[in-house]
Amino acid sequence: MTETEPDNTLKPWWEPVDIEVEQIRHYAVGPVSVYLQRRQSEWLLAWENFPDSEDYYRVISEAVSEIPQHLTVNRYVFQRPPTRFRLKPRLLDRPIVVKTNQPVRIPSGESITFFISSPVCVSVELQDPDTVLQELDTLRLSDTWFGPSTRVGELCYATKTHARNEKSDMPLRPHRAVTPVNIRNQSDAILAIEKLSIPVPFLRVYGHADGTLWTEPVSLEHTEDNQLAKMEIGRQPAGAVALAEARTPPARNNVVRAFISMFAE
Amino acid sequence: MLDSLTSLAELDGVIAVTRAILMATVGLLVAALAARGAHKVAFKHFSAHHSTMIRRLVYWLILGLFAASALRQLGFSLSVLLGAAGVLSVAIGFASQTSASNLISGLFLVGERPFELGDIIRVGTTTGEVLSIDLLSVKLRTFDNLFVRIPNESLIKTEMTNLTRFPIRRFDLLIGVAYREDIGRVRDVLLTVADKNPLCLDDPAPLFIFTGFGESALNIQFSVWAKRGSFLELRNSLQQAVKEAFDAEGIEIPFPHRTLYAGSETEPFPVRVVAETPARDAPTEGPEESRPG
Repeated sequence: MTETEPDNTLKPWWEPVDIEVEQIRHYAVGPVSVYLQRRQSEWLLAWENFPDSEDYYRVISEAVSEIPQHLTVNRYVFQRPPTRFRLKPRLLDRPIVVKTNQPVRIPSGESITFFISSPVCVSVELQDPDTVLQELDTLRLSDTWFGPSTRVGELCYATKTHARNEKSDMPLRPHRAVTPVNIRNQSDAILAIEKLSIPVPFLRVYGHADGTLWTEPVSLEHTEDNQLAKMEIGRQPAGAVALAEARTPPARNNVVRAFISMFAE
Repeated sequence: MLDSLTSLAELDGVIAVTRAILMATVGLLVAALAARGAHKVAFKHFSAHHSTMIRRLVYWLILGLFAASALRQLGFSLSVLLGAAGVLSVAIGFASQTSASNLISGLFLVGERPFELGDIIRVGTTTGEVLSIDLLSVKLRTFDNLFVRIPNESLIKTEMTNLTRFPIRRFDLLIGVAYREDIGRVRDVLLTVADKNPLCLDDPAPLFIFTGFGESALNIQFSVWAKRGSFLELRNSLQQAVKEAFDAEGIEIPFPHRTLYAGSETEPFPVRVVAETPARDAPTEGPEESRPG
């Protein structure tokens, strides 16, 4: 295996790649490493996770001589195996509840945009014919419950956010997609935000040429009565390429319900 | 003349029997088809349990009607049959007291809907998945794959717990730490363990309760929430992680302590200090000295 100094500058890792018979490729997207080998009638796939935060900035694409011995190798057997593969980012299957590290307050009449990033899954796919081999979590987020009581609500993932409001402050990591969340406080009182639910199953993932991942912007309007938090999913970010469809087609009612209790805290 | 009359009567009899058989056959067929149709329609609108009930009801009702018509064809008078049944029912009622009680309890269970097919329930010491809810009994499959039949009457009478009604569950870890430990530190260690475990829900937040001063330990209840499906996994991983974290932090989980008190009148307990000398030297001198001089 080649032991070179990792080059951590972001670059698109989702482009399709042709691979020769018996060739082995190693890809690293943040904390997850993927090894792929094409054989005469099968594909081999192995992966591992690196939980240390210093690995979060890795983007590696290299040819290697062997798959590390300690990994479990999965075989996918074909009559005529596809010659090309692709790693594709996909958002998680449940909404993500982000807690702010410090309490954030928005005065009356203000409108602010926060940039909140959420980890993506890496979907390992073969092309012609299209086959999804595996979906790999880059980070295992903690489960959480989002709802008014322990009987009513929905299961979500939990994470913490710095609730940054400057794009330039965002640390660029290959395995996280950034959602701009615009919040307008139309009520007369100060709006305190401790928790925010990002409905990622309703969002698409877009990739920029600089290797960053984005979703559509989400905007929220807080009016006098807490129960009506109007939510809208915005347009596709300019200059970005759509990489994956939303897991759940947006249904207005679902989205609004997911957001209602955000302001009830 | 007599011969022809007899043959006519026989012919009538044959026709009636044929009709009755035909009717019973058609009845079976119609009942099966109607029940299947009713099940399909009901499945869309009702729960699995209720649509199964509707299917059975339709089946037996239609079959009963056809059976009654078939009996009529054979010359039985329904009113006589029902009358006889009325007389019999008193006797049967006494004999089938248990069945009747189960039957009525079954109807209440259906109305109350404390659980559905596929739910996991606990009755007494039995815990299992509900396979079917019938008029007389509920059938369970336990986790060691045994088939358990619980009469409806006992279900109505006793306490029953449905483990899968709500999507999240709480696991209460009861643990004791030594008296010398700092409770604040123990609390922090436990909260860190819960925070690191992805199966442990972030919200509702883990609950730390200092339940009291026990005989040998400070008793603590640490309650964490988990998704229903990963409850067992959480229970294992959390307890293992707590043990490991306590070991790493040097927090003692004490064994029961016993202090022996011999009363104020008695002499203190004799204590022998064993020197760190080889064991073979020690015993030879003892008996010599204790001999009376």
